[in-house]
Amino acid sequence: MIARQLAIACLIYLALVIQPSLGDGLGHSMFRPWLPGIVVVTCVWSLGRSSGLICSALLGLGIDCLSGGKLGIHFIVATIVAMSLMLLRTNARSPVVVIGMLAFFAAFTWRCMAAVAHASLGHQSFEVNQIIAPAATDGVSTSVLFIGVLLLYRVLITAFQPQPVSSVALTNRWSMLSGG
Amino acid sequence: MTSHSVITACCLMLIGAGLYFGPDGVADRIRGSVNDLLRPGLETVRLAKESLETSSNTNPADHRVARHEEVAELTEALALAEEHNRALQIRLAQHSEQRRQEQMVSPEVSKSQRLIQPLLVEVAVLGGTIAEDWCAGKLIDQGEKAGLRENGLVLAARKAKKTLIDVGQDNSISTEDTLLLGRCVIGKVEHVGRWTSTIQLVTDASYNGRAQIIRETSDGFVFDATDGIILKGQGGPLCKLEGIPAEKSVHIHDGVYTRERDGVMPIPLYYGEVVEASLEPNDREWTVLVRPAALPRQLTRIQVLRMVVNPDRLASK
Repeated sequence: MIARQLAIACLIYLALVIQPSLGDGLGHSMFRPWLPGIVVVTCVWSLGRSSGLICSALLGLGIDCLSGGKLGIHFIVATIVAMSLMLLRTNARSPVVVIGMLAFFAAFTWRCMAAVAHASLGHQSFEVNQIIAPAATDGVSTSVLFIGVLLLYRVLITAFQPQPVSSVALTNRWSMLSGG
Repeated sequence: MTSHSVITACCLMLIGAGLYFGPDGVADRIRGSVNDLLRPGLETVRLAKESLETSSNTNPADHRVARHEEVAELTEALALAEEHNRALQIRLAQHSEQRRQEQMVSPEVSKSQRLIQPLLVEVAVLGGTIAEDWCAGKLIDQGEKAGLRENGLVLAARKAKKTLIDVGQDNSISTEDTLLLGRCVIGKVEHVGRWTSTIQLVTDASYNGRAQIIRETSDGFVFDATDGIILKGQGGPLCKLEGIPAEKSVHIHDGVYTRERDGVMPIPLYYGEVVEASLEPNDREWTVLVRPAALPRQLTRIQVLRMVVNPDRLASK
């Protein structure tokens, strides 16, 4: 459990330090994954419910600190996203596809809610299209990246998993020797 | 979701609201701590991204384009530097030429054994009042009856406000003798009287003199062998250089010097520098403007360059 928590802490740190460098997309392309969405999904899946919520909230606090605005918006949004993922988790049956969809949901919801909250609390007008389109792009990018990473992880696990030693059926051999 | 999770979520949202509406000092402290914690990772990622971008930019096509751009920029900078260097070299050559002339053309008669030698005569330019009195006959009135009268041409030319110098036939001055100031050609003697003479500056409209272009390059001085180049005054501050065929090359800051036919002068004398050179598509000759050496506001003393027979050769006879 401690190793898992350490791994999640490392994931949170990595997401926080890598995400600012993805501001204009990977290689100046439209592929701009929202890494905190992936980490929130991982937290909800890997940790317990309360731990998942707290880790998600801490991740949101980190995003708040990096964004330079007032603290608390990403903190609350991350908590809401984590709660929503917990509700959806109970119905999950096909892990890879569903987890990919949940990653899309997490990134899309997070981006939309944060943008709307910032605009509303800042008393600024906003257009839904200008919020939804980039959020959807980020969600798709996040989903694709997460599915790719999961598939790669499973392939590597399968490749390096030690093969079970095939047991020898002694019964027949004994019967041959004994002539029985 | 269990009630425990709901309570945790509610607490977290309350904490979030507290962070948002809380005092800025607390928020700043939290932000500073988190940023300090993240700074090493952010720096590492930034460096990694820069190195990745650098390595991705070094693909052959981009590298070739970048090198071509760099070569073009360096070539342009080199051309500008060469142009500047050439201008400086020409100025240096002109100064050194003037200095050499000062050393070589001394007022004293040269000790060489050539039959005809140049001689510089220091003369004074008569001021306006003295010149007027002189031409009005006030200064030589007493000798007029004895035939002591200034040359009529000089007196006539003086009426046209020509500058007068205090030497004439008594000093063996003759027309077309070159006038120098600081070893730069400033004009020539126009009319010679008995005791005075009128002068013609290079900027006067009626002035003309043989000239040549000398250019200082990295390989040394380049003398233009074109014959028939004439420097003409225009009545303004600039002179015109005529007779340079279109196939020749002329550059700004080229030096313009006298062109002697008899070879008495060991070196050409300086007129000025080229300040404008243009060649229209259908022109057969360059249109070149020359700025002559600057004259002081009050011209008081100048030198007249005249030719004399070597006294040593005469004495040896």
